Amino acid sequence: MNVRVLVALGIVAASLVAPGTFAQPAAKPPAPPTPYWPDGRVNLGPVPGGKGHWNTGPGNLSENPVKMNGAFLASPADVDKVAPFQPWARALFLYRQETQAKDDPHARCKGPAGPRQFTTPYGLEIVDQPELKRLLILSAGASHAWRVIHMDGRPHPAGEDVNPTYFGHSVGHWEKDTLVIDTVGFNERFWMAGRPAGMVHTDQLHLIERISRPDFNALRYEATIDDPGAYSRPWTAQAFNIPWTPVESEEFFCTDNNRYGEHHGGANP
Amino acid sequence: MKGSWVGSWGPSQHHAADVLIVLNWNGKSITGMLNPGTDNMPIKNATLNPAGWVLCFEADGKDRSGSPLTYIVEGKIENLGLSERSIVGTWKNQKESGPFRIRRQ
Repeated sequence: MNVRVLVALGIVAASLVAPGTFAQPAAKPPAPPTPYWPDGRVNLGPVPGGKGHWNTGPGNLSENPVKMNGAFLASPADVDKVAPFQPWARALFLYRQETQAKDDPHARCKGPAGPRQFTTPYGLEIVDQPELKRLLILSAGASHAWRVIHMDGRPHPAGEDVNPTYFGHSVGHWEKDTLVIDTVGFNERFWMAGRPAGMVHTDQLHLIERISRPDFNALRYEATIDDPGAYSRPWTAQAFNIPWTPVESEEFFCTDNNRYGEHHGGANP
Repeated sequence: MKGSWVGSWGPSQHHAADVLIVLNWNGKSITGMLNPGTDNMPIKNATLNPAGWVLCFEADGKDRSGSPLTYIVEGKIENLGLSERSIVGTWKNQKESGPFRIRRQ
């Protein structure tokens, strides 16, 4: 077979293929729809018989879009895009950024509390317990901790009954297909975001989280921060999606062979 | 700032008295109490300058004869990134002065 024949065969073969076949990748199939429980509530976990968890997403706790370099602002001049900091909180946030989060309590295996629970590596699961009128949010990463969301209409404790903790006291309710969680009673022993690192809060923090599942593969998370101790006004961070990962979450304990302190100039846990 | 801070103050590091300070922050001002109990002294005129992280406050007390004294404390926050941070500086009144060091619990 000579060269002319080969070329002719190539031209014939190419003419039999639809234009653009090689230029366009296969279209990504649409995500399955949002799953619901028989009573009409959104299922925020795996379907019965299935498995999976919500893995770490690219969430950034910032009021406005800001260019990031990992957990740090690409430019410190963007600090005022992040949140309406009070002067002291702004200075402390910048100090934590400048020092590359070397003092991050999270890296010493403290609880991944506040919005940070939704960006912590190894992800989380949301377990619905309607018979107990509560939800559990299980963190696979960090300190392998869990958080209880009371769905029975109880109020927050007040006055001397408030015992400040990492996760605080959470009550929740449904607004159509959105889970709204209202939390108070935080302590000040954690940093409430992994990105940007070093976000500041006080024990006056009142956190409102809105969680929904727009389709099977996405958990949408939005946080409103009301902390008159650290910010000049309440603010809402840009919502972000957390991807569904159809495998069991891993067992992970932060305290296993933790070397963060050695690498960042501080103590190991 | 909020929380209980314990440490010492005195004419020298080797002759210092224990001190407990409870500080509060409501989002606008720092308030608190020196040595809560029978000899407590409310702090006043407290300021925190984030540029340098210097805390200043005053407290009105009395000496052993009952004469009024005004304590003036100025210290810099150390280990800022830690919850168990410290304030290290000096104190003075009309009669004495010395080092001051407290650590957040």
